Amino acid sequence: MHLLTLTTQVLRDPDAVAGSGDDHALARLAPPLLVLAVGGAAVLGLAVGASAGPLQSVYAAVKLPALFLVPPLVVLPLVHTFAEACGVSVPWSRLGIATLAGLARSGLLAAAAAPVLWLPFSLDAEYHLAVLAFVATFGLVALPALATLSRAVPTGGRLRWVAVLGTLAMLGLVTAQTGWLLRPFVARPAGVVAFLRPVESDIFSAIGATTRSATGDYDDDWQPRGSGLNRTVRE
Amino acid sequence: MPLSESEGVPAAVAPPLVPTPGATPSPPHPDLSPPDFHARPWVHARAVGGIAALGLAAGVAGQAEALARAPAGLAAAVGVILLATPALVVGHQYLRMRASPGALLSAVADAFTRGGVVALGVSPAVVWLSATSDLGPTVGALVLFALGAFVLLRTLLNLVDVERLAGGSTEGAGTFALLWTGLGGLIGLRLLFFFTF
Repeated sequence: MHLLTLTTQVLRDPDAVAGSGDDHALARLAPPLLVLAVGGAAVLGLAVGASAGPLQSVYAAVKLPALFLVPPLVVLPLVHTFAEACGVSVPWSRLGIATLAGLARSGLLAAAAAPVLWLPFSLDAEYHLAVLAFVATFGLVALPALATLSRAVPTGGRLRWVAVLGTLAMLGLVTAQTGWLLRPFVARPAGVVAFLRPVESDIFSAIGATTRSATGDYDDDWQPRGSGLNRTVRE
Repeated sequence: MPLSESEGVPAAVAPPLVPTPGATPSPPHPDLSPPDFHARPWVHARAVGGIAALGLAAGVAGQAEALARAPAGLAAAVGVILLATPALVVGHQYLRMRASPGALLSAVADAFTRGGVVALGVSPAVVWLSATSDLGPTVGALVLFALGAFVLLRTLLNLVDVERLAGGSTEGAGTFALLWTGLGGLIGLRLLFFFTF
């Protein structure tokens, strides 16, 4: 299928693309869908990193596709087994193609949203505001992918809603932590441009520190520390 | 091997769990599966492996307390089955409900097996969180509790289903199943607390 035709179809009717989910269709459609997803996310990354210069733009353009792809990859086994346990069967091929179709749709929307985000960023938007704008944009463009994925799970099974809710909760958690892991996307004005920061702390401790700072409580001198495997290696 | 609904068995024509002579079973619920778990040890093995994998996943970065939850989760699941199931069978028969003890055991086994399979599926996500942060033990514990709630909910629905298929009253079975799952949940919490702390 021509890339432009596929682009139109993914935007207008992603369920039709997701519905063609046999192994043959997966092999045929996976590369172009991946191109759309990665390309669109990279465009958004270019815009997000623009405020800190071209190097940060390139870094963000490389990392943002990973933020699109890693969480679904990690959570797909849960989608499959949870749906199965709730009485609805989703073949791996259908799940794979629905995920890719959803990601491609989100990637295209991300590319479309990139200029909107770039405009305030280019006007030296305040750092925290810029981060919030980026997170909101990412959340908004990710929603269609979630919707496509949840529609790929066939109806039936009384506990289907448990599977969908449980999977979405875990996907949200993994996405938040992956975003934290791949930071910075928006560089601090006085910060050094870096591709990645060390594996340290987690998203929730950072949110807690930010919330305390936002409410004027600067007593807790929060410092990120090594965590996970990184902590084990350091110890 | 997938669970029963995934095997393409048309649920609408699946045989009832326990044929009761003389009874006129109501139409089977489309979500009910035939209880042929005895013939599929792989499904049981996958479920047991799933709970163990979840504990190991939570402790992949070396957190000892999370590693300890691998056997604790399994022990709690086995403990609930051993301690609470006799009450289920005895109470069910004493109250003269229609489903047979075999059907009840199948219903409970089905729910626990499904919970184990979900544990297997969630393990990669827990490994990821555990390897990249200190969230592993917390997330592992939360997932374990959520899975417990899912298993109990599934057991509740299964128990009502087997009674309906046997031609019994779903209202009475629902109340009884609700009480029993409450008991199972409390025993599970107690055992988790006992094995973890």
